[in-house]
Amino acid sequence: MKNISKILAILSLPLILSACGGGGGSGGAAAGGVGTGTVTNCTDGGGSTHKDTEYDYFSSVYHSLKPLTAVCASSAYARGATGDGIQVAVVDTGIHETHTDINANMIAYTTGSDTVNSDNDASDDHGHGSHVAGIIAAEHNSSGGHGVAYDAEIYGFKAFNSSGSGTDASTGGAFALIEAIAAIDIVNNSWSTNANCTSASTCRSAIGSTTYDNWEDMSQLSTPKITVFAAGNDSEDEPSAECQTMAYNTDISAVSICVVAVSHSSLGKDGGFLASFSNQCGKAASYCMAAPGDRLLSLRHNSNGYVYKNGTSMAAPMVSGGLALVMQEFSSLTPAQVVSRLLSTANDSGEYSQTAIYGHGMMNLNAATTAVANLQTINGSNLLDDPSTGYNDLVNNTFTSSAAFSNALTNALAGQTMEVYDSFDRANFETNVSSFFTSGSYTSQNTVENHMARLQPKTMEKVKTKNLYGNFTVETDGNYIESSMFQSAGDFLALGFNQSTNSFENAVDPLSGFFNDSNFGNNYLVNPYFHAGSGQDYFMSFNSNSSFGMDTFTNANGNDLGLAFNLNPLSSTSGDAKNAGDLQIVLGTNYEQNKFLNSSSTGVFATGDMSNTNFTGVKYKKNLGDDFTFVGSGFAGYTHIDKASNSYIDKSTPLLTSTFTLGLAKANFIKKNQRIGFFINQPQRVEDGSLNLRVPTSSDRDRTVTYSNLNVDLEPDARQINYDIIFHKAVTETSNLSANLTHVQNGDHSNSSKDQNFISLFYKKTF
Amino acid sequence: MLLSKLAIFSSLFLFSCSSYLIQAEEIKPENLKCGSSSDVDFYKKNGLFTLVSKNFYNKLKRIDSNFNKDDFNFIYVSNPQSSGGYVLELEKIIKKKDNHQIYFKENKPPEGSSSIAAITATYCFLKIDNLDQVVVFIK
Repeated sequence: MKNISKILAILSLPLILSACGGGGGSGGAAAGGVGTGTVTNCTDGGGSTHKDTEYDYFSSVYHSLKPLTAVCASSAYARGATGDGIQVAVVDTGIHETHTDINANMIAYTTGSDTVNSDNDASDDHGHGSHVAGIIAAEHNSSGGHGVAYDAEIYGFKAFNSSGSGTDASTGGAFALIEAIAAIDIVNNSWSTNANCTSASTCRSAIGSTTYDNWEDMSQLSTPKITVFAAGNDSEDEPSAECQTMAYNTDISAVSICVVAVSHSSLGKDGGFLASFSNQCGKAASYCMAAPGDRLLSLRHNSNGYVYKNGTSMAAPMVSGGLALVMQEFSSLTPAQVVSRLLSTANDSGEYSQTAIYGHGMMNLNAATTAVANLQTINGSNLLDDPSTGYNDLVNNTFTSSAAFSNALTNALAGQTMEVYDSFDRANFETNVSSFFTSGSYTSQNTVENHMARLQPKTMEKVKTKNLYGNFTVETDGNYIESSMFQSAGDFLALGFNQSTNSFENAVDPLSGFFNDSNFGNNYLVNPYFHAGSGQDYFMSFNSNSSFGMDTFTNANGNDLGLAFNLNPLSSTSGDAKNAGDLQIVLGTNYEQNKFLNSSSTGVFATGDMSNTNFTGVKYKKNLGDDFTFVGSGFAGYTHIDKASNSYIDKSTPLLTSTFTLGLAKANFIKKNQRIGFFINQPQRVEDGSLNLRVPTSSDRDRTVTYSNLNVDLEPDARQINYDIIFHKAVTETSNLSANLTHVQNGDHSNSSKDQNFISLFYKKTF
Repeated sequence: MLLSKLAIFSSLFLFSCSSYLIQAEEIKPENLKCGSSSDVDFYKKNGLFTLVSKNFYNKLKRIDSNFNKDDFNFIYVSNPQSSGGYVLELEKIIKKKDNHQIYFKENKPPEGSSSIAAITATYCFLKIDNLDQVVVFIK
């Protein structure tokens, strides 16, 4: 027995030497600089290094699959791309369809799917086809690894015999069957013809007329099939005849990719260079890319086990799987655009910049599933490519909502998504509708800063000048004019600039004086439909005999225009000032340009020029004895939202809003120089009404967009009530002490808001 | 089958003194298994293997987990090729005085055909009675 071994050892040398040529794995570096550059992958669109770590939820499986890390598959998975809904045909030696790691993704063999034996059983009698199918769509389950597109579905076609050889009739026949199955999106061809061709006709001769013609037919369908071909393993400068065909047939090249193989096992160590056996992209460079093809682990055909294989056969299904991910992720892309996106986003830096070798470079599924250019909203059109369709960069689409309904809006938009589009190819990306919305907040009125402002006595110096018609009042703060008002005597006339309140508060309201002429109460008592705050608001007030008045309001931007009629059936100025009451009834209207209820918006969320609110209100003040004063106000409004053309804000029902304040103030509280007040206030709130958003939610490969209606009831789920206690003490003539306690219940009308308390103390001494 | 047995018997008789010839078609089907494999761990060590070879059993199982040591006693794995489509054929076995000369022929893929694009090796498994020292010839 030992003798036999010796002889075997001796004989093995001439046997190896006498073996036929073309041996794999011994090709060495191909011409053109293979291995001369640096290799990186998983770069994002901006080119910065991106580590492939987003896929930590099944890292142990994923990271054992080096080819997947090499193409940054985890980034695509993290974005939800798994190949679900995409169907891939594998034209090969058949498939072990009952393998437990792919059987759930297998489509039942179609009639005639074995074109070698002309029967319906495309089972695998070689092992190659099962391995290829597993690289595409082996399941993500508890056994083994998984395919690039582990939720894709596989159609098996047996066009190669048990030796791995196919004929024009068998491959062409498979193509004819595939052409007739509309559901098939991608056709993987891990096979090749080792021949050169220099024109469409010579390529047709090289690969066989039936195969060529049927391949061309598949490419010319209204929804063409994407075809992926292996470049071949002959270590040559030119790829297979099938890949070369792409250079001479534009219908085919529009939806085809040729794949060369890199040695993934050396990624990060020796460089991830072109595998020694792989052909280069050569004349097919414009339709060619690289993917791992060296030592890939995938399905065995005669058991539920796994096996390693080498070849561009293994690189091609990596790309087919990548196409399935891109195709699933972007339903708006045509098959040609899916191909273009995968090619365009390949890593072509460093080593992969050598076009003749790597074509577009190394497949990068992170970049392929990321925006290539600016993401934009569509302007309401249903047609992605229509010349009249407009797009807006995301930053130009905003909605800043009023706290009167922001809680309802936030709740309604939670989890709601819409589509935006990459300006590169209009690939559809999903984004949260809420990402465009900013909520206003009432509780910000109770920050320490605002408390302090409320408590702080005005530093303004009132300068009054008598003239022929009455008094002219200018209030200054330092060198800045804060407000001015021309005020007539007798029959009241006021012309104001930068006033934050209206005639009632300015001219009649004793509370201003009561609280040391502070701003306290203004936010609660002013007309809530005249949205001041720009700092340059203008208004005019006319008041005749205290029984009838008119307020007008606009602001510097011209966005608001308001008019209110005030009826004063009771007035303390005309009767017993000690016990008389002041009553004012307000009727008015307000127009807001490109906003409503002070909610501003732009882009696809814009509103029209003439949103209108009709409102009514009542204000009442009555002295209750010498020291007590009761105040109350209430407003209600009815808002019609003006629709802007192409806006996602589609239809709305009128919004009914309310506001109220009740207060009690006491002078000479315990001591003469002390005052106290208690107020209850409900900020403006929507009581009824809704808004309909019509947002794009899906798009199809025919480049049409479907919109969905999102009806939002704008009534918040709670009612905010503010409780305010204010105390003021004049310590000396030149110093005073103030305190403000505010308790806020259901802040911003939200029942999820915790009660908030704000306490401020203020002491001021003038030197 | 009877004819086949007769042929084998005749060959053994004719070459009993110095050598005798066994044509491929005379080998029982269950004693000959040829095919091709792209399994890296199958073809990475190639050449000829007998029962005493370290990798014999492993190679047997990599092709078919149901194969047993009793099924075959000789394996030949060719140098891997750049594609599928190659076919290894056993032509004949000549039993010499102190060795077996085994003649294989590896056929290239048919002209104009397409082939799977994986690195692939052809192989043949044989069961040869009274296997002696082995010399393999490939053409």
